[in-house]
Amino acid sequence: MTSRLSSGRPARRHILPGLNLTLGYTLLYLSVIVLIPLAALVLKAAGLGLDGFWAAINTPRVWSALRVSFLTALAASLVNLPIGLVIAWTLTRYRVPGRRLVDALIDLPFALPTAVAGITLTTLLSPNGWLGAPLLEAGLRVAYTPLGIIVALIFIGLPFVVRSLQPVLEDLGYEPEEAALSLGATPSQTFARVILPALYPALLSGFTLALARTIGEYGSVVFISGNLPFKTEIAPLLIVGKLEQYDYAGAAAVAVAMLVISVTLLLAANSAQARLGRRGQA
Amino acid sequence: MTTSKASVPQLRRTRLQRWWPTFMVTLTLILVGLLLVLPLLVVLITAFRSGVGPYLQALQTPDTLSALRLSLLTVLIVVPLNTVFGVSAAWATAKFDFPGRSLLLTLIDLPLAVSPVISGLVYVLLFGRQGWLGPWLEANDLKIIFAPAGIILATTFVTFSYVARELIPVMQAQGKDDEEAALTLGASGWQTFTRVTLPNIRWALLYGVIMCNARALGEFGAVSVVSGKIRGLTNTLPLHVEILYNEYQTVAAFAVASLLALFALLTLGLKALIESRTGHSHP
Amino acid sequence: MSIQVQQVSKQFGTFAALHDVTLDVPDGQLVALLGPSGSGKTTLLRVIAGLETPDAGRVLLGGQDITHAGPGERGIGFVFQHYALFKHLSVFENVAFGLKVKRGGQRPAPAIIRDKVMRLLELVQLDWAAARYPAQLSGGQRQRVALARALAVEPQVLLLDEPFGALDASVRQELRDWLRRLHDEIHLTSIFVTHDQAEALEIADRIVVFNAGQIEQEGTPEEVYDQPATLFAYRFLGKANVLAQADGQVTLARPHDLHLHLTSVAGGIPGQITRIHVVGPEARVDVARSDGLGSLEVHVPKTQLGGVQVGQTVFLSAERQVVLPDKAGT
Repeated sequence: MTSRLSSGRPARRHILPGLNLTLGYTLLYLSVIVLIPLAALVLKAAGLGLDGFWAAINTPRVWSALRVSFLTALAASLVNLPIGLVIAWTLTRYRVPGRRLVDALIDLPFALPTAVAGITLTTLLSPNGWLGAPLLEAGLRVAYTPLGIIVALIFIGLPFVVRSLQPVLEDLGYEPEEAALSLGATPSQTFARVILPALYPALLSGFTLALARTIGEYGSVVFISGNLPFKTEIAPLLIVGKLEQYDYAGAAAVAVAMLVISVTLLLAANSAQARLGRRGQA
Repeated sequence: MTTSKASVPQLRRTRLQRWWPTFMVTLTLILVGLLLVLPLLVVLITAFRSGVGPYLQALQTPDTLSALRLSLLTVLIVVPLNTVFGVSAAWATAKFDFPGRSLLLTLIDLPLAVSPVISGLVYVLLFGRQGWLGPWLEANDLKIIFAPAGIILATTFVTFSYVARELIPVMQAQGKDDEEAALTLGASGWQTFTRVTLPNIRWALLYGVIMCNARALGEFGAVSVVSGKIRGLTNTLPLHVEILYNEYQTVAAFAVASLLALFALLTLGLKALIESRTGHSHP
Repeated sequence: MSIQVQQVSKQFGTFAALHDVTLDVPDGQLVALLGPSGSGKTTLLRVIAGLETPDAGRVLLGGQDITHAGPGERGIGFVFQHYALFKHLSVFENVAFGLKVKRGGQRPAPAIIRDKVMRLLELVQLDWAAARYPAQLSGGQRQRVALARALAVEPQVLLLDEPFGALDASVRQELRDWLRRLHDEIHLTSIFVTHDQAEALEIADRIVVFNAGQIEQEGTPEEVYDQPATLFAYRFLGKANVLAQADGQVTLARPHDLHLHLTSVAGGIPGQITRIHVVGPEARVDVARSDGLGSLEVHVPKTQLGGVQVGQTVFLSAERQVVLPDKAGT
């Protein structure tokens, strides 16, 4: 007990060696690769001044791109919650033919280059694609619409939700639901009142990770979106466009706006999760 | 005494039990089939649409080969760099407590929240012709943007957290007992690290390296911003796929894509192997 | 080799883990550091091992100041509560570790290492398990490997942190007896940390009772059990019955020092039996005092219970009692 106590607290001198070396290298590498380049970005945007910055992002096209990026990522991450829950639940609870293969495939979106995913989904869903043609006949246009962006982002975000849920479902086991059933709860009551609440932190963390990843996604989206300004133009594409026109300050302004949005989201979700996690432990 | 109370729900449960798993398994297989298997099939079938000859031909063009070379070079530089960083960051943050530790942990994860396009943009702003260091680089005849160096930097940024993220929770969970035991037995710091710590984290390390490798090989957005897409010079495999696709060379585009998909499947296989060895699934 | 701890203090943040602790452990003794969680006993053990640096004070080993020596330079063997065996190494390699990491000329030849490791594994009765891995052993076996590993570097002092804490009750008893026998055989100065007073009373030559970062009492098991210096030590070492409490003094008796009488005796405390519970050969009788000052627990041999019943009125006298200052906060 006391050894746990002591190892968790700072000691004046560390017995294990290497803190100075590893911490020094960590800070140096972090600064060179991440912090200084990000500072260059912020400085560039700051160079516009507050009015200039506002003028750069307060255009209908920028707002539209930010909205498309945010809303499609939000929609895709929400859709991934039930899909991810079904898959994670089935993989932990039931006998699935080829379980190991299916489980390994879940990570395909992590491992498959986004550009490959992009051209593949576009081919599949374009008006003459395997799925696109029948869907178009049914009156549903997917490729080159916001729906296409959402499909690509569902693909990208899926493993985040499944992988967040799986370990929690494994830990949960059967005891809580058996306890609920033995107390006379129906299976649906058991799911809604016992199982789902236990999964909230994992669902939230999966949702957050998926959102953080998809909100800035570029490679898988750029092919399927059609890139129509005001309709399917995403914020990262707008940045690329501004760069190609040598509007570096404008690109930096949009980038800073995006960074602010995603970092705020992450911090909010982290604190919400910390609160949920504390409740879960109590 | 439980039978009388539990019999009613249990009856209902047995009826549910009959169809519910079948339903869930079927639904899962359909979802996985549509979302994951079908795209893989599309890659393969489109790549071989015109037969094996054109497929092989597409893979052997000088542009494809030079893109492959640049992609491999990038991976060979980026993965070791981020691995050394990951081990170093994990040792400092998992084995020690110091003021600002949690801020450091947040900063290590920061690149994951940055859009790939922005990850490329930051280096353009730093090293591009209009960038802070642009004039100096030009005066010294150094090129980073629109050159392999920029691609390597942007890829390093995007995969920055991958190894560290895998190692930190594992090393933290393992605590310091093993290292302290080694020290009391007279081992030096380096001996402790190589003989005790490294074996303890080997699977997590391998896992992180594999995922870092996969992302480095497939990175598109960040690289696309800094590359300039000069064929034969600054083209990586994913960029090459884009160019071929936009030129309506569909078969060639998917042939190169199939190569990348093969790497991805290899990654998944290795990952599954590690998980079966350690008995853990990693998020 | 003797160990001296001189005025050692250690602070973790705002928490004073050790406050001005001084302790002498003579050569060849088996000493128990006994106390509740957070009382500082493990911190002191880790300070002696060099795993924590004290804020103040000195640690001497055989008269030599080792306060600033690294954990590997002190000639100590440390056995961790959760064994800390190297999972990727076989039992043999675990025990050989300390010999194989020795530098250059100090490292024994492979044949000598092999002989030494096998001798140690015989000593802990695990020579048959040399090729196994820690995951293939039971908790008790792992603990014995950890002990052999600590002994391999020929330490001057053996330090054990809650050595039996993570084991089943039956294995714990067995290992306890075994550790005592081992100590009688090799006479290595040893300190072990425990929160289990029975463990300390059973195998230690001396017991050091810890409370809130300070030493409450130090002595032989008999001394600390029969003549506790403080109320805290009395309570921590066994069940305490409060007989009387007045003028800052409290009179206490152990359950087996109380006698049951069916008729009134001089100075006897009257009460009513509320529960009789037989544990093996011993009967535990709860008596609610008639004066309303709580209840007392009496232990008598089952055979001497003499047919008393729950609800019966009895009188209690103490064969032996202790009067201690009534300190608040204990």
